[in-house]
Amino acid sequence: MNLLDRLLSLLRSRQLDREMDEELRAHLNREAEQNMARGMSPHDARFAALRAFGGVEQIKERARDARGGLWLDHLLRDFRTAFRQLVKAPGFTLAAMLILGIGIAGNTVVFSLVNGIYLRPIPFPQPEQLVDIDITAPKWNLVYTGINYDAFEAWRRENQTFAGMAHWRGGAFNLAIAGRSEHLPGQQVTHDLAEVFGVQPALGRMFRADEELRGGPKIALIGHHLWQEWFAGDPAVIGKTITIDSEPYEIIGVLPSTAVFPSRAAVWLPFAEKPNRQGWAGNAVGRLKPGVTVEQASADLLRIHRAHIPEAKEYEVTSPVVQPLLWRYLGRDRTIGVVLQGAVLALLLIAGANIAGLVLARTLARLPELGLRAALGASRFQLLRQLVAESIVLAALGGAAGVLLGRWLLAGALRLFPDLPAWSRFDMDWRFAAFMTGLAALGVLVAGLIPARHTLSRVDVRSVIGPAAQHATHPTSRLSTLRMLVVGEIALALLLLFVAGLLGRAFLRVQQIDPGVQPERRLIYGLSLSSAAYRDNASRLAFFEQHLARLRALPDVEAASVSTIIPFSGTHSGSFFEPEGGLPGGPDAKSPVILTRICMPDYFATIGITFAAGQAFSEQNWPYKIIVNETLARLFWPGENAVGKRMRSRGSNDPWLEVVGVARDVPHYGLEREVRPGVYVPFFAMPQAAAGVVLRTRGDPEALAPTVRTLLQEQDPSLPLMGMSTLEKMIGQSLFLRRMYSGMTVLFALVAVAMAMAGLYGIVAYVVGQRTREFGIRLALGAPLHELLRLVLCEGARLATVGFGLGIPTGILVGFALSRLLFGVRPWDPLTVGAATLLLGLIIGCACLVPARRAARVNVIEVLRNE
Amino acid sequence: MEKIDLLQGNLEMMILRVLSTGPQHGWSIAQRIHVLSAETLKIEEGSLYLALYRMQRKRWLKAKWGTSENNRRAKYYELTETGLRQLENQHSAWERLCTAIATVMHAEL
Repeated sequence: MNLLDRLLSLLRSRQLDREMDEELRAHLNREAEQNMARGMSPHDARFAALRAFGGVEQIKERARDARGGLWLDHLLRDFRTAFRQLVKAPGFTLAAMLILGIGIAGNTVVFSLVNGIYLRPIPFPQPEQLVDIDITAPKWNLVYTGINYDAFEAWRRENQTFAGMAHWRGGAFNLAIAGRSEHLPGQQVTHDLAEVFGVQPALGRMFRADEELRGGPKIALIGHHLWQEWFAGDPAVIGKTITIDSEPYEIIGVLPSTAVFPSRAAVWLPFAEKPNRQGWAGNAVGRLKPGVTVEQASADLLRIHRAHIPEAKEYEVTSPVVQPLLWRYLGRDRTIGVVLQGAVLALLLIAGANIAGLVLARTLARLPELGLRAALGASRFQLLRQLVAESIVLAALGGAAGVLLGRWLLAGALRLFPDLPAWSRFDMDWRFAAFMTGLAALGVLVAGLIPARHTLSRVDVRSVIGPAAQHATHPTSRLSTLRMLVVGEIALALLLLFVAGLLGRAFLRVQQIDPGVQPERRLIYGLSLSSAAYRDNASRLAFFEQHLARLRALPDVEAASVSTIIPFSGTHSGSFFEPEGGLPGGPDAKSPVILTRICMPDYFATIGITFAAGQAFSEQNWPYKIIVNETLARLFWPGENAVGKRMRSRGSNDPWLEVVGVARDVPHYGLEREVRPGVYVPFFAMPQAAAGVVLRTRGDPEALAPTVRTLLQEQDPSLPLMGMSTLEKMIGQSLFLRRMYSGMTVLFALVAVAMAMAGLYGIVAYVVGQRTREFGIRLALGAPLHELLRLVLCEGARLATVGFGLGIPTGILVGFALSRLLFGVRPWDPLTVGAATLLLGLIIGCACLVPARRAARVNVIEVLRNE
Repeated sequence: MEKIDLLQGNLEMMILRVLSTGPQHGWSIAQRIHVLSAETLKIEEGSLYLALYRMQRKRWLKAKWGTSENNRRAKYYELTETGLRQLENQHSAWERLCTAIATVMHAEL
């Protein structure tokens, strides 16, 4: 009978059973009838027929056996039995489900997060051929400068190692169609960007090479999202017009929804008009020819770069850098991912130890039952099969709980992430969850088999049931296994708590860094004037002055000002300056890029930047004046007072700028980041089209937001407002990552400690239970109560001490490994060590308290009676 | 009546033979064998039905539910082509075996 028949017969088994029943019964009836015809009474007839027949049920059983598919049938029955057994012990089952669930959920969430960011390949064809190309200039103190278009063109023309190369610059544009306008991110791209990535426009076509030239046609591709939202996915969108920065552009294509890189651009423009082709900005990506290595490509580009030095002197200090695409965007520093995965793995191990302990204890308790079943004829295989079924059902329940919990946690975690790479997807990794569940099943099975193996190998009934067994203490080997498990749990929990403490302290330390500004009551937003409507300096200046005047007129606004770049906004603009007399290190010294901010005189007072020396420029006294920050002052004029010194744009013949003030450093790029040398240039000198507005408000800054919007509408309805936020929020967001992983580690540590405590409580209670008899005898012999309590606490203390002895040194080692994240907190920080130890000791004391009290209440008479 | 142990193959052969005359249900097959063997053989129901199910699985027989002589539901078994061929093969094999054994038993030693 082939497999298909077996399966089919399994499915129809109930029907087949009924048919067989009917058939055999019919036979019986005929036999009985015949007997009656021969003269027997109905009763006798029936009885004779039955006897002649043999066992009806046995025949059916053998027939069913022969039908096959039996092992499956038995397995299903075993599962059902296992399920029922677990339901009958709800305490154990719920505890196990909870522990397993937490362990599996934690691991799956962290794995999905890390997987989504790091491990999944980017969704382009042959992603291993894609490389990021940039320029590095160590002498300018820049790791990446951005792409210089002329250099890029040279590489593209003359390279031998690339199948294609493309360049883009990100930006934001005012997009408008009839009835809608928004300021959205977009990119200027070279014509081959889509080709290099290997994607096709969803609709229409990509730019051509000739359209990339200066003065080329005003054409654009729109993003998929924009197409759906603004054009309702209309396929006739090709040819329609969209207004970009007040100028009409024709839509020639729609980008695909997947694989849009690197950001969620709403529009792609050809690299024709806007960008400054000198200067360095933007990124480049290339696709290597098959078989070409990154090193070869790097050497190739360097060769070309060097060959062009005669035309462009800067090429001496700059050089192209080629690296795999993911390395650029995710960084090669995986420390955070490792920390989280390590933490959650420790949690899983603790959970595993707990489960093992639970199952061990439960199986020990069930040994009499197993022994009885063995005596009644259950084969070893059947008992084993039942244990396997129970492990699988328990693991499945735990896995289901874990998956549910994990999905919920993952959704919550993702909502906290502000800014994810556009291509990353964070689905719950089902394979991983399944793997974890399988692992859990294995663990549970092994934990159950260890105590049961004797019963399975020898059917010595009397050793497991009957009076002797109840009084025998279990062999020390089982107890020492449990002890080892708990010691391990305590060590891991302490380790986790310690690391969490270190990270927590590091986070607090970072939070306390002086932000250089006053974050309270500051409202920030950005404006970008279109070049069409505001063509010259005068009109732009007029706009901002009017805008600020109207803002200052509001009763709740204490001060208002403007600066091109606001700290903690993730923006940057740099240029090169040199002091009068040259750099201190001579002409070959590093000339780092200087963060250049263009602002109004009252900007400093508005945002709360104080001065270390000198003062801000004033409305009257601003031409040829400049303000520097402390870092720049130390760089250009070490040991001297910078006020009164002069500097100017490097390599130019512009008039010298006099330093009127030294502003206190602001950690512009983030509280943890290095402060760059920076300058502040008067807005009156070069009014910009795009700038940030800062308001100091009397009350809650966000309450002012609607008023500000209305005000802007009145002044210029076509101007959208960008990125409105408060300074406090911006600083908070810059700390997001650190807060996230520190918080998660603390969470894991707390859960781990709770689980370890549960484990410790379990074993201490178990030991106390085992030694009840002994305690009773001791009490009867006159031992004082505190003696008993001491015994119990000693048990707990002994385990705890060993756990500490393992956990603390390991924790310090781990602290060293993580020193990069610790921001100056020393790995052996005594405060953290002491606090963690104390806390854990306290909780251990509590865990032992309950069993100790139970020991104290041992009923002496009961114990003696049972002897 | 003492029990003669019947080989599984022999029972199957006899069932096939009985069914070669037409479809019948389990009880009537047992009756037929009993009668045809001059009441020498009384088939144990267990063995009978197990043999029937076995042969049904081997596709020597096919079964259909119908109404019996006394208007009750009964499962009728019928020979298939394969079954018929099996019957012929087994019968001739058995004849040869019997002849061989008989020769040995009656031979002059």
